[in-house]
Amino acid sequence: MKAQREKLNKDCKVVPGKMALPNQYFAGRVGSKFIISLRDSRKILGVRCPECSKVYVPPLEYCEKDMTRIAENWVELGNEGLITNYTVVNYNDRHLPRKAPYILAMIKLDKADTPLVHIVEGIEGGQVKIGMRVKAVFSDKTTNTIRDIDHFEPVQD
Amino acid sequence: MSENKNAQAEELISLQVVNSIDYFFPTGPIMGKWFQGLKEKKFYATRCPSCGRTQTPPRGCCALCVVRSEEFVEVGPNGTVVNYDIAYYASPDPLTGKVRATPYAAVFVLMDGSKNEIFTHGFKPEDIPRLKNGLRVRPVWNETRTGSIEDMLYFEIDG
Repeated sequence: MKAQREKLNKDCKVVPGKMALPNQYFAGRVGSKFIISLRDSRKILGVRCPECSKVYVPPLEYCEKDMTRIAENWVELGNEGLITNYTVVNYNDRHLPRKAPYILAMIKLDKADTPLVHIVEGIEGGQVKIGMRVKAVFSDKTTNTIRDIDHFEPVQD
Repeated sequence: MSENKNAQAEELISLQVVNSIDYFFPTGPIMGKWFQGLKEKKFYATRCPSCGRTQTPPRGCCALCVVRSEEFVEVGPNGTVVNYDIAYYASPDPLTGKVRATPYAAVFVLMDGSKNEIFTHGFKPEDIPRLKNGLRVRPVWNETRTGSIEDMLYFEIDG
């Protein structure tokens, strides 16, 4: 029985394949304005709800709390904020924006109520503290994505 | 005045990306041997010890009796057409937009040496006008064979 199994196992082979998935993603009318402001004006914009005053970034068309349409209420948020959470990415994948290890953080910009996720550079993973002040550094080469902000880095006191 | 305000078109951002997913298909010993057979220009089948029917491509278990069938036999390589489909309209490939040349045909072939079991593959496009049930066919092999389904190109008329 075992000998027969071994004889059969020699015929096993592994066939590699590659599947291509073409994909199109539309940023939306609100999302497009947000990206264009990063790309052309180097300004981070959010939207504010007139009912509950919550400021969203990245911007939404409708307020999550009371469903008010907030798409026209743009506010400039400045470039600085505090880290509210972070993680260190320790593995490599061709879809990731940086080589491991790199830091991803949730950053609450001073004038916003929601955190923005982005890369933090200029500091070691073990030294990041929640509540650290960071500021945005914009990209030289733009890509029509959130990566028109290149990363955030700690603000020197 | 309002025409001037809307004159500049609103720029909309969209991204086109082709994500690529690598995958591996492990054949197991039974399909592995079948692919090896194609490389050698042979068709292997498994025979059920209970009812004697053969299956190609082979399975480790008879589909009717649900009995383990690991005895390999050879069938074909020639056979008789028992059914066929001819496609006159091909949907465009969603990746490339290309359309497969039509008409193209799939034939259901009773391989020599099998009881009632059918093997399906393509049919030589030039022979389609003469395609009918009862036709004797033989496989046309790829010049380079690597142990994959593409080792066989299609069936053609034998005779």
